[in-house]
Amino acid sequence: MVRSLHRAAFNAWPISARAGIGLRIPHHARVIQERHVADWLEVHPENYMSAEPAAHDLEMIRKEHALSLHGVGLSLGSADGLCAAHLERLSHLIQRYAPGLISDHLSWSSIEGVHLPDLLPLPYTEEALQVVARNVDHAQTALKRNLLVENPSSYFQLSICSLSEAEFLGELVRRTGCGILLDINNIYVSAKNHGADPLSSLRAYLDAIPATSIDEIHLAGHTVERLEDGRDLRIDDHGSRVSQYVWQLYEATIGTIGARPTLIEWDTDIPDLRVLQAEASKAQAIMDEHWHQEQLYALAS
Amino acid sequence: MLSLAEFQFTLAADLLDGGMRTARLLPGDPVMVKEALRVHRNTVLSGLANALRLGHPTVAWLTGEDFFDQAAHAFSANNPPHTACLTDYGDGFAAFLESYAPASGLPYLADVARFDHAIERCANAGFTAPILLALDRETAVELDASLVTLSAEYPVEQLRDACDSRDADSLEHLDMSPQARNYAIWRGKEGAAMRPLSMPSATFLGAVLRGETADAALAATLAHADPVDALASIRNEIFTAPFVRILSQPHGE
Repeated sequence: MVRSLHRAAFNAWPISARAGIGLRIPHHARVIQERHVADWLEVHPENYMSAEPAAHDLEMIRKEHALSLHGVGLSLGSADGLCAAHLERLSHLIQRYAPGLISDHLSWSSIEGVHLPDLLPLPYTEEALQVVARNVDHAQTALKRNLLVENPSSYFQLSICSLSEAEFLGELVRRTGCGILLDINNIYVSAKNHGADPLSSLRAYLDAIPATSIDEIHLAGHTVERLEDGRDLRIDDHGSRVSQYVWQLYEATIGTIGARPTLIEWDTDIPDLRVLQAEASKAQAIMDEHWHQEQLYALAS
Repeated sequence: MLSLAEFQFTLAADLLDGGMRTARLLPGDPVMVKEALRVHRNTVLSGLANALRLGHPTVAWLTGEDFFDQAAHAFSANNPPHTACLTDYGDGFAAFLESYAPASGLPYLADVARFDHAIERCANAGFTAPILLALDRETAVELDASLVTLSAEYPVEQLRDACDSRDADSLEHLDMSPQARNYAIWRGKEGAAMRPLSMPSATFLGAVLRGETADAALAATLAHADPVDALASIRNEIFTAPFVRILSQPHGE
C-alpha cells in the first residue's frame, strides 16, 4: 500500500490539525526576527530551488516551525509525464527541510518542454485519470513520500469530462494512495463560476473523497469580476481575506470530517503578517469550537 | 475524441499567442470559454512578466511598467520557460531587446538587461565547488564558481546604481557615449558583487572561465596588449580580488 509505505519512510516534524500560514519571501525577515509566528508554515518550493539566499532564510525559519512544501510546478496532469529535473530539485528540498506535508495540484503546466506558470485545467476523463495516477505514482516513488493533491479553481467547464472533479479525486486516492488537500475557496469559486450551489458542491467532494485521505485544507480570498453580459466571474487570486461564504463552507467541512491542518494562503497584494495571523486565528477558533462541541457531545452521551 | 496531449498542446499555444483554437475544440458557453482563456492568459503572461521584472530590475525601472510589460509579453510569447523554477528565466531577453522595435531609441537597454541578469543570477547562486586554476607546478588559485565576466558599451554600473537608489536625476549627468566596459560579477558574502576590469584582465578571465589553461589564457591576452601593462592589470584586478583564493605560493616569494 503506497500510503503507509511512504508515511513510514520519513521522520519529519509533523503538522498537527491546527492553523498555519503561507510564507512568502517578503515576510522572511520578519519571521526570522520574531522567531515563531504560526503553528506551521507552508511555502512554494519553486521559490527556493534556485535562490540560495531565500533557501538559507528558510533553514533558519524551519528551526522554529513545522513546514509544508506546496508545489506549483510538478504538473501532475501533463500528458508527457513529469520533469525529472524538477523532481530532483524537489527531492533535494525535501532532504534539506524534512517537511511534514508535500502537496501539488490537480492541474498541468507543462507540455512538450514548455512550462506555463499557471494551474491549467484537466478534462476529467479516464485517459486523464490514468495520466495523473501514473504521474502521482512516479512522484511518490521518486520522493519516497506521500503526496497531497489539491482541487484547483476552475473557469472552464470542459464538456468532454466523463467524471466530476470530486469523483476524479476520489478515484485518484483509490488508485495511488495519495492524500487530498481540500481547497475550500476553490470549491466555492468553481461552483459559483459554473452556476452550482457551493454547499452542494462541497457535499459532493466530502461524499466522493474518503475523509481519512483529506490531510490538509486551504483557505484564501478571491475577487469578483462583472462580465459584459452581467454575469460574475470569480477569480482565485489569493489577494484578500477569506470570504464569509468560504468560512461557512469551512465550518461545514470541519463539522463533517473534524479538524485538519488548515492554511491561510495569500499570494497577491501581500499584507502585514498580522493580517495572516488574524485569519489563521479565525480558522483555529472554528477548529477549537468543533473540538468543544465534540467534548460536550461525548459528555452528554 | 480529443486526446489529453492534443488538448494541452492547443491550450498552451492559445495562451502564448492569443489564439482561440481551444474554444473551437470545446463546445459550450462561448462567453465563459473566452473569459476562461483570458483569465489563464493573464495569469501566464503576468507571471512571466513578473519573473522577468525580478531578474531585470534596472530595465524595468528605466522603461516603466507599461513598456516593460509589453516587452515582456512579446518576449514570453516566443520564449516560454522550460522549467517551473522561474528565478533564472530570461536568458535571451537582452538579445530580444536589441531587436525589439519599440526599444530602438534605447540602445543601452540590452547591455543593462545583461548586467541585471548577471547580477541577479549571482545573487541567487548557491555555494558550489570553486573553479581550480593551476598557474604553475606549485601555485594554483580557486575562482568562485558563480564568477562571470560581462562586457558592455554603456555605463550599466551607474545605471544600476541609479535604479537601486531610485535617483532619476543622476541619469541626466551620465556619460552615455559608447565605450568598452568590462566587469567581473560573482556572489559575494552579502549578495552579488562586481568589479570593473581592464580589457587585458577581462580577456584573461574570460578565457579561463571558458576552460582554457592559465598559459593559454595569458597567451591570448598578450597577443593584443602591452605585456607589462597587461600583467600588472591581471595581478592587480584578478589575483587580489575577493573571488580568488591563492592555494599555495612558490617558496621564497
